[in-house]
Amino acid sequence: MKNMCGSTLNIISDLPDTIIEKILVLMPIRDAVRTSVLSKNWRFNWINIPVLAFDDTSLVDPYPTFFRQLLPPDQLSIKNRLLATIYHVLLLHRGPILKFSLSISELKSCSEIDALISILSNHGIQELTLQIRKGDPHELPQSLFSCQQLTYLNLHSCVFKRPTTFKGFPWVVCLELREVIITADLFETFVSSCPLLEQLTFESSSRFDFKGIDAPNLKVLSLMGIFKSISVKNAPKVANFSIHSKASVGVVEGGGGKFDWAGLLDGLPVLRSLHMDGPYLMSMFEEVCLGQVGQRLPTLWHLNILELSDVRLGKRVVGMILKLIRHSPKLHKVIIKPIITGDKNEASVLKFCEATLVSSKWHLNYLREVEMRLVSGTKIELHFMKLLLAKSRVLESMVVKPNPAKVSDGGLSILKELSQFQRLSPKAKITYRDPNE
Amino acid sequence: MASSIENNNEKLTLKSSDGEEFLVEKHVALQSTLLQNMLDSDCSSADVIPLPKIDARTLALVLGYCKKHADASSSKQGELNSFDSEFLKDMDMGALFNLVLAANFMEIKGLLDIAAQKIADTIKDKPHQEVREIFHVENDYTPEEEAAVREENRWAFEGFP
Repeated sequence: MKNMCGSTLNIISDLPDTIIEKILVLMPIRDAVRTSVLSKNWRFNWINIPVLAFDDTSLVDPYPTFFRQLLPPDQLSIKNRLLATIYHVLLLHRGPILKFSLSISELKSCSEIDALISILSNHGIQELTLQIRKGDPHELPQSLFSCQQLTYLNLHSCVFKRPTTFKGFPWVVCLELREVIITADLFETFVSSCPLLEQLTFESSSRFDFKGIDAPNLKVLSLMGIFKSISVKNAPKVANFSIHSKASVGVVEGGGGKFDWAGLLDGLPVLRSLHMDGPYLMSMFEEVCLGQVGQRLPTLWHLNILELSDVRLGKRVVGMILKLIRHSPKLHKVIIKPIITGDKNEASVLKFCEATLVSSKWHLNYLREVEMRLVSGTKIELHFMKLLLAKSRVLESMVVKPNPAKVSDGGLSILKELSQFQRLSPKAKITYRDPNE
Repeated sequence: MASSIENNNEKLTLKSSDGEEFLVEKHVALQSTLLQNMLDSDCSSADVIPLPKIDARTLALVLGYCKKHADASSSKQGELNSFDSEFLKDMDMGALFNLVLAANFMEIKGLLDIAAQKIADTIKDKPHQEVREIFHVENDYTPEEEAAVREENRWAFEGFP
């Protein structure tokens, strides 16, 4: 093979500035700064990079282990050393800072953070990440609201106070708020002042009243935690919706809370992908199947993918899953990650599956693809899969991925049983995935 | 990034700097924004498109990457990721630089990202003498100047050889 450009020609200093900048951005800031000693050409290469990230991997450990053993550092000296580094970088830096991230596990909330945000607001900041990972949440300064070029904002453990003057964030497309302290009203105002917002992630460990979302361009909505209520006012373009309880907070009381699921789903008219976990599926069951008269499950006209994680395949959950599938005429794929159910309800679930199986009244007319992940091979799981195979008219594929911690034979016995089940769809194919893949 | 193509059989010819010609399916070529823009404007796919800065060895690699990414459906992200890391695994530095330049010229964002990341990972945590050797950078500092630059950015060199 011919190679006209000898490798000596392609030394790194010959790379165009844009590529060198790209390479420097892709390494931790301390390594980018270290390139200044390579040669005179390299001395100032790093000072123009438009992306600055300060996190545990990008800095030098302010107190290496041997030092800690010698003299355990106090919080003040850790803070001072970290801030001195950040200030040093900012003092030498030239040009715009388009992307800035501060997420250091040892850095608590302090007034110096406000000074940083103030500097950034004068440097054309577009993407800002501020994560407080220790101590009290940080009260956001007014200067944040003057960062008018922001397209991306990611906050963890911050407190929102109503800004005195706020013209909205005209360019924000993606908003990630985790454990932020904000009133429901202020949140509603805040979201509606981001007219281009397409992605919203909201996580909360305290009961949050998530209501009245007015986001005409929102496409992806991800919620995690405990919610008092969830409703949308104006979100006509949401295609992906996911809702999960928070493992660290424990089981959500009373399922996922009492929601107007019908109203919520009606408010998401073009939903294509729905991802929810067991507790919220139970909550949906309680409202849609047990709730007051008038509650119903709307037809999900555009739903393509339904993903259900951490579901206990009890009688109610199985019923709810089947109902969701039957209400989604364009559903292509269902992904289910079951968790093992205690044996106490096994008999009733199996009975329910059997009864549904022999009932000739209904079928699943739309489902094409099923993926079962982390299958342990319990009777309930097998009966559930048997039911899907027997009732799906157009099923094309059922993928089974066993749980490596629960199966000893690599899942062969599961496969053996599955292959004996009757399949209504002539095209249905069972595929097995290696559990350790 | 799956592109919907009406006519899958359409092909075009690319010519490397050392004169080798590559027949490429159109949907594979569309992974390159440069080629996409050329096809969108007036370039007829019957023409031979010269790529004067890219040698045959590099172009073959680039097209291998494009084909894999064009043919994989978007749902197979995991598979593509493992392809990407395998793709660059044992590549020597010369080939990697040629690749990053080609990806930059042909505007293939995904390839540019992974190749630049690979270079960044190689520099990371290496003593600068070693970095200079890998990248053939000539040290034009006097020892005093070098010490001064090091001192200026002292924090970054703490605990570093």
